[in-house]
Amino acid sequence: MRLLLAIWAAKLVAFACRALGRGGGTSLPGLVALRIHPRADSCLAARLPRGCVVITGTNGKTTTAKMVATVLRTAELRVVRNVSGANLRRGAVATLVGATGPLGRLDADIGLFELDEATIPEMVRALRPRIVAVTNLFRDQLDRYGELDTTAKRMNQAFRESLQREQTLVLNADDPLVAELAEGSPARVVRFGIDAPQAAGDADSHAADTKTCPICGGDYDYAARHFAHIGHFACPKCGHGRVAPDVRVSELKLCGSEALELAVEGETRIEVRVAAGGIYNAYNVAAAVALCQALGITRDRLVEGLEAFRPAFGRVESLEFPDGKRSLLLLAKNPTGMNQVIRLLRDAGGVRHVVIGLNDNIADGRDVSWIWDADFEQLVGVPESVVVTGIRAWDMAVRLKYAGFAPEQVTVEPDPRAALQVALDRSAPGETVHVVPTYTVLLDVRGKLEREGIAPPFWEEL
Amino acid sequence: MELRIGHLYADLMSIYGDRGNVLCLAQRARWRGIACTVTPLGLGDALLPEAHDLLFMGGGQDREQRLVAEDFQTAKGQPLREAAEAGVAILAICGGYQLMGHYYRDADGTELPGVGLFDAYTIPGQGPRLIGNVVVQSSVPGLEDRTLVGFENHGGRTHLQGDTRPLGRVVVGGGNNGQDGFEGAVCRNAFGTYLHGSCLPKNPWLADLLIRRALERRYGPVDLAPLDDTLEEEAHRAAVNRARETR
Ligand SMILES: [Zn+2]
Repeated sequence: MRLLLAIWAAKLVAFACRALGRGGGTSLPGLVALRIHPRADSCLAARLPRGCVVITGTNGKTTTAKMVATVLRTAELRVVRNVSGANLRRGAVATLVGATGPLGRLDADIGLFELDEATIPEMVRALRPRIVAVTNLFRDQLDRYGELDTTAKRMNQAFRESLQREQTLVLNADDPLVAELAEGSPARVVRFGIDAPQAAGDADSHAADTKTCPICGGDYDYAARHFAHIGHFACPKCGHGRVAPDVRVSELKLCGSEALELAVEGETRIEVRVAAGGIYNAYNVAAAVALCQALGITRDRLVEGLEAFRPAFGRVESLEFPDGKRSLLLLAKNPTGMNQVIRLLRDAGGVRHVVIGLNDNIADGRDVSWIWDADFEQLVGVPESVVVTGIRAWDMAVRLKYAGFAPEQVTVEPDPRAALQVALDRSAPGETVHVVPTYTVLLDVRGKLEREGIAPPFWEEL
Repeated sequence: MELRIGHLYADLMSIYGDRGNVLCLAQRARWRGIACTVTPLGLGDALLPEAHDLLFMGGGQDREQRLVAEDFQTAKGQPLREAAEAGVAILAICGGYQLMGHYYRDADGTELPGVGLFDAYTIPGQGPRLIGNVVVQSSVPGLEDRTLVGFENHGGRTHLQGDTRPLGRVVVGGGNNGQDGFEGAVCRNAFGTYLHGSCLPKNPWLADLLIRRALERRYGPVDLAPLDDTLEEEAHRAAVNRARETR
């Protein structure tokens, strides 16, 4: 009864949010439900016939979740899934309530939640997920959570104490910090990684977080370094190193900024073309394959689903303008993500005008220091011009100046939509403006483009 | 002229964009026609006090700080003190700054011995971490009319004693310990601060002061040619405004 009350109250709040035009109301209903029934999520999740899956990590959770969701829907499962901005407990609860009918019947087969790293200990207990997948752990918004090691330690503790034998951990074998998370946990472990020589990249070591062995403090040697601290690591002092993955990308071809062709070997071998560019997306594919196999999805459905995948909003999202110009939105919110985007811009060819947006709202992380850890030096000589925008546009302008951009190449326009227009006006018909925003700059510019009818509303993405 | 920068533990102690300070120093030297070399000084590498005009050290997590504290004891502590004594310019940020005092006691109660360049010590705070934008009214001779702006993120509380002066007085934010209103430390040509940001690109006057003091030890009085700092000053202003809005 109390649960029903919580559901009704939350639904009322969600309705009010929509009526007041406050977007989809992605979190507040969850808070209300939890206030009335503190275990609302546990109770609702327990009603999912196929249980639920949790995806966490610093980068790639949204893309991985969307890949998995597309595969599951291809396999004719009804999926309930949270939106990327609502990745704390209240967001998960709001999502479950949204999928529940007025009589408490849950209109879904399986739950798919992308959750913030810091909420994992709490959410593993609350949701009792069949699978927990961790994509990677990078320095991101440390100002909210303290230090990266602490986050990893707390996650490992939760995996040791709250997981059981029948639950599965899907872990990135190539990330030293993630690889350690299974230590002492009774859960089944499935590792994914990349074994393709094409993945070896520039050693953008400035963004690496873990270069020392957690066991002996020695420096890692990398047989292959894919980006940041991700790769085939080994400690020459104590022998601690990468464990061979169960699901491995064995062949990889980068097709411009928007697609990958890869072979993945797990329980079976698959070959797919996926609409997502960059090495980091090869990891997302590997994670999605490992996850879907653990859920028992057949090979054909897996391939069909991955090929049907389209990028989530703002993650390599292409938007068409009436005058035949195009913009490509490429979210970048930390040094590793930014370095991947820079690599993608270098590889894409013909990139002439770029917009880079930097905000320091809570959702972006208040601290903008991270721009100095990204290798903007690698971007010099790639675009003709950069328009910098956002609350901290001037910081970005200074960063580009010290990276080696000439003063006349950099324009400051604090309003993101106006900045995009400056770049569009400089472009010829048929050309693409690459927009690289932090999270709330993305919301800002995309919101305006939605009202102009250029971008579809983002909650329709689900 | 030549500016020789030694980057202490470039790999281990580099958090929150601290390497931006080295990029800033190097570029501001080069734009003035001063040749600049940056030498990384890692664990176990020898530090020759006379080989550098300016030594920089950034912040790190507790794990890295432990390794560095050990290296100070076994390798670099003594030459670092000699360099400071000889007037080499030094800038240490956050975790680096903490290890430049007498000791740093971390949250677990482990006490790491420091180098003792500053008459200062760091202990765990009672309250939450000090996190956010910081504005400081500088009290560094020659920069009294300037503010310094950056972003702090530290659990430890640093207390100054004796002859060690602060970098300035906190206008917005926590500073050394959130209590006495001081931020940073200065002793001869050694500077310590909690400001990330990176610190120097948004406070170019501090960068230039460091470059000048670094060069003067070998070349006598130096006049640095002025640079166009319009962007830096705008970034400084924007950060100051943001500090007032967010804390
Ligand atoms: Zn080791």
